[in-house]
Amino acid sequence: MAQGKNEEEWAALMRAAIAGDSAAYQTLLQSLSTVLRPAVRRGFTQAGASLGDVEDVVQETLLALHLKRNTWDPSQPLGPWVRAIARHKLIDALRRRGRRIQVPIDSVLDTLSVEEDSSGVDRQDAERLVNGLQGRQRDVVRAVSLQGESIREVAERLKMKEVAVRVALHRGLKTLGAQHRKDQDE
Amino acid sequence: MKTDDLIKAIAADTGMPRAPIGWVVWTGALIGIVATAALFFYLLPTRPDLEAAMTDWHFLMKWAFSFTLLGTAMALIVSLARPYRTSTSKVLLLLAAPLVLAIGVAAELIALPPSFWMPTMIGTNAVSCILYVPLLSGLPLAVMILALRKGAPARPALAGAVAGLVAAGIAASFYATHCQNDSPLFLAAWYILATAVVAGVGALLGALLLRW
Repeated sequence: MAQGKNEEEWAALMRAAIAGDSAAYQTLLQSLSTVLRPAVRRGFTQAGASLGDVEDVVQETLLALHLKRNTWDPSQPLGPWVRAIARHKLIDALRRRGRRIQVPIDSVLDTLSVEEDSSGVDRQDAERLVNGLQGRQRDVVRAVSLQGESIREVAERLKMKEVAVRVALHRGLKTLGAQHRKDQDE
Repeated sequence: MKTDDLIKAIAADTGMPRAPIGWVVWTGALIGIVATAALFFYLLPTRPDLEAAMTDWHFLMKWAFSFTLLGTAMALIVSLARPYRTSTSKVLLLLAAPLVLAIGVAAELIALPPSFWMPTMIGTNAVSCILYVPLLSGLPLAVMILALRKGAPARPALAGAVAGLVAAGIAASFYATHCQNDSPLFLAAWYILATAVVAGVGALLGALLLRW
């Protein structure tokens, strides 16, 4: 079964990621984003929401599963945990848009690993996330993401210690993760 | 930012491994117990007849209630700290402590003539109970909420309420050694009221602080 194989791969990649393997982590997040995108899109469609913010929810889910990865039990499969987080973020996003949730979101997300994303159409920029950062956090997150620099390269260029770059990156991601809640409260 | 770019940033942030949530929550509870013990022994004396009381089922019923409350709330809270939805049947575990108490109440009602029921329930110092149990719950509740903030509770208000039950369970276990009212009737009225107050505060804090 394809799903079972996915599960094992995902769990193995996540365990490697938690042990500090960035490459494995990147592979995993790529793989998850391609299955999250259509699932989130289906959720939006069923709730009758516009598809403009699908990518926001995908990004919020990726951030949340990064920041909350300590809530995954490595002896458990990864899929149900990712689904639970995606579901939380999807409902959150729909509520923010003033939707009453009547659709059984579960049924939407149950099929997380079935359908691969084929369209590149909505892999658009999700602008809302990045603008919330300031100062060092912004410099570092931009450098690592947009410019694809390594931690060491950023440290050399910005004349920072590597550990300071890591801290700024981590705080930047935390700020991004909290960003949508700020939008909600305003 | 494109999602692929975000992924690069996330994947680079592997430096700081984080403590598993189960460990965080249990550590929080232990810190809560130690903090409550310190505050309790600073504020209140244990009752002079504690040793004798420990052989009386009335007194032991107080601990049976508070330990059951603490145990079931702890059993639940690690699940509630995770993003999965906790099944309702598991939440019903929380009925164990009231059930234990109900057995005690039944025994007490049989043992006492009806004219004693009311005065026994009112007890001698109910105000102290409904003040001190919430007061002693403050520190463990704060610690448990902080611990849960490291988690991803699917239902923040419920997680906060159960954090309140953990705190009340700790507080009541200590307060029981000070309080001279041992009747299950007293417990059913005042300990339950105090516990409900703490759970309510916990639910409120959860709704405010545990969103993610």
